[in-house]
Amino acid sequence: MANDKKGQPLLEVEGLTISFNRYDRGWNKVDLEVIHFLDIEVFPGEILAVVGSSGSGKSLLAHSVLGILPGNANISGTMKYKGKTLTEKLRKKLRGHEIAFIPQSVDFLDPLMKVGAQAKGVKGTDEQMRRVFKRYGLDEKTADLYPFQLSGGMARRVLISTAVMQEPELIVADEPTPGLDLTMAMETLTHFREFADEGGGVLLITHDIDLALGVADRIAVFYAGTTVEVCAARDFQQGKDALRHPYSKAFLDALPQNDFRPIGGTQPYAGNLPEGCLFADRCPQRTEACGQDVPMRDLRGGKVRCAHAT
Amino acid sequence: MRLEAKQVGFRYQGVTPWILKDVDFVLESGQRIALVGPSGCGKSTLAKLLAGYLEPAEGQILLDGKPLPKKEYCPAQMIGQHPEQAVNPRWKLKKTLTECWSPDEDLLAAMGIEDEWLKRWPSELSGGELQRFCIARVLGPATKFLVCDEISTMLDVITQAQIWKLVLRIAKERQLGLVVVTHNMALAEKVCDQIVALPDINKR
Amino acid sequence: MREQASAVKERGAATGSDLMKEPRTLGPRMNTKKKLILYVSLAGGYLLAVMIAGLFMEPELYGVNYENKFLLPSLAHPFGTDFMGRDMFWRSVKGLSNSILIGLAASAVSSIIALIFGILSAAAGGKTDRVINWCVDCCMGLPHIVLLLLISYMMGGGGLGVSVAVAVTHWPELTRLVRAEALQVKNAQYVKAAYKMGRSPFQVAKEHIVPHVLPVYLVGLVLLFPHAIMHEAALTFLGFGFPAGVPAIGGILSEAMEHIVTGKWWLCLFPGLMLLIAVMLFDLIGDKLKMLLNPGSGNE
Repeated sequence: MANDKKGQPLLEVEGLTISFNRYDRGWNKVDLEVIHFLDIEVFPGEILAVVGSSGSGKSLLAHSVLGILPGNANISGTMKYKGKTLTEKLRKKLRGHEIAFIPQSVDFLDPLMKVGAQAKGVKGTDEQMRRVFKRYGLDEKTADLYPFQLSGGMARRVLISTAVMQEPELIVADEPTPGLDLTMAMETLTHFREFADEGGGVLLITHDIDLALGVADRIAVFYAGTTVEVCAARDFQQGKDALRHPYSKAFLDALPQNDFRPIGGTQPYAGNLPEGCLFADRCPQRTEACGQDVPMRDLRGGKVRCAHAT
Repeated sequence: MRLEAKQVGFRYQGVTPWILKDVDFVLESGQRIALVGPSGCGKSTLAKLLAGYLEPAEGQILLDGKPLPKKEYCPAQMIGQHPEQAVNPRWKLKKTLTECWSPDEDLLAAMGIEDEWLKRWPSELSGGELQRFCIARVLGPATKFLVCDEISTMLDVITQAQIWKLVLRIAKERQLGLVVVTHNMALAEKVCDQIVALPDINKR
Repeated sequence: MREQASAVKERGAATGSDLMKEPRTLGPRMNTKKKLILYVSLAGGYLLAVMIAGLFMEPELYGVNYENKFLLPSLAHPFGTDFMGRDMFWRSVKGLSNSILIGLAASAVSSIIALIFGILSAAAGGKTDRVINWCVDCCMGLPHIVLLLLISYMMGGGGLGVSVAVAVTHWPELTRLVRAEALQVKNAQYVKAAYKMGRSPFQVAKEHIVPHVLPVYLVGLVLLFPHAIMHEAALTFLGFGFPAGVPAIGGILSEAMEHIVTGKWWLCLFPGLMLLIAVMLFDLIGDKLKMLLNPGSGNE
């Protein structure tokens, strides 16, 4: 992890592995491993952006922190909040108070309940609600609307208000920006930045690296269910050479404002997970060493899961 | 060919405020136009009108001077933002792919669709992979225009670049006309040869 | 769900579980899907057996025999006998069988009405939709038992009355369900895309809509049974259903009421239990079927 961070991490995830019991064809049940040996930490006062391809299991990370995975999921590894192991009981206590979740879409709001009542939750007061709504530029009348009457941007702000109502210390945001235009997306992220500057921690899950770079302190790059690189956001801004993993470099190349050049191939999946490095078959630097297990290692103030990175 | 919106206005059920009013828009074969503007300015609505998913309340959508066909294959096909909503979850992908025509091996190879994927259910593929199917299934010979409504918003940048490279190649080969709805200016500039800000042509 | 499903990778069961702690859902060896099917077939088998037994039963089995009045349950008469010396076990089986037959008829009629109304309402929209919804609201607004009594009385009571009453009053809920599903699939992007790709309404209905609505419809149909059976029993209990001579659970229970004060507990306990079990089994079949047909919940 970045060495300039001090103190105890707010959230600490170590060796997280998630698999699902699924039916294959017909009767057979198989265990499908979707997240493998994942380590991340979120410190107070910072935004950690988790970026990566769609379908790399990013949302699952969020759901597992909150403890809202479906019943057929098997989880191993440790998760700590302020040094205390997150048990089911502790999660229940913290969820909605110290740990807040901003879901991917407005569909998570109850369509039959006015948004004011939803934002307040069980414990919030009208006073609190008015204050928070005002802060996020929501009219007082908004509280009397139903979710379907909100525009995309308003809905997003309602979701954020709901999350911060109880003055949490950690926000887990799952893809909060798709469907918003640039101004509104930036506005959303600015709210996160303010929250972090006041000492909160944010785990921001997104596939929009452009936006993430603007606000995040550190970036964790996700590929095929694990982190391949964790680094300071400025490394991304400095360009390819500051980065460590070939996948992160390919990410930069593919941005429309850069070369808009894709690498070939697709993320490996069901039944096709290679031994060793998961990125090997798309990697220009592949050698035999990639067939071995590649552990996460420290490199230039960040972490990388690649045998060749220098 | 030419796809044209002529003095088009749209609102829901004749009571809500106008979303589009007196919009004129022309797209020729081989042309690639990006449609940009803030959220809620009616980009998606215009896209749906152009592909015949919605009927204009005023004005007309014309294809070479004639209204869009209602019962047969529509030469202007739309690709949307959420590929997983655009395929039947109960169908294997081969059936989805061949719903209206049978793409040949070459096209599948060019689209990066692997044979093995055809035997899968939609829930077993990622958004980027499904989006390839959604594109390939509307690339039949009768398609002359593609309306792309935020087709790469939900994809990561590498997949986004892959998908656009494919679409651009095929559009150039076949002289397809492209309408690209996006909020990403960098993408609009890379992909299109003309950028239209909808608020400029929408007189609501 | 989608993201995780697509990201899913298979390491094979062996490597997968080596890497992890003992998975917590691994209880008994049998997997959920097999268990579900076992439940459904056991419950279905029992109910079918009762129905068939009742259909082909010799009437002497529950005939009048004044020598055996009010016998306590024994090996010869597992459920005891009543005030006319009739064997309560066989009477209960026959009665339950009648109830199931009525349930079957009711489900068949009601579900066909529901299917037609539901699809029509979703497909036609506009006025048709409003009229059908109004009918649904009307039927659901009236207390169900009152409606049943009215129709049964109107039809002159008896077996016919109760059958018709039960058959024509159970469609509203299912109509709503079918309509909602049909509407949902009708507005799905893939259905709209299919029209744009030149598919005819018939093709769309056959390939997209019917396969989507069918599972919900089937579950709804099974879940109609317990309602129909309970309502038949209620009508008969209140004296608007089957005449006293015909064995019916409702009738048996209302007769038993007269003897309960004199301590003839078996007269109502066993038939009541049989009715309860039958209703619960139908409910279970419906529930499990729902899990089987819904791939998401079936995985849990």
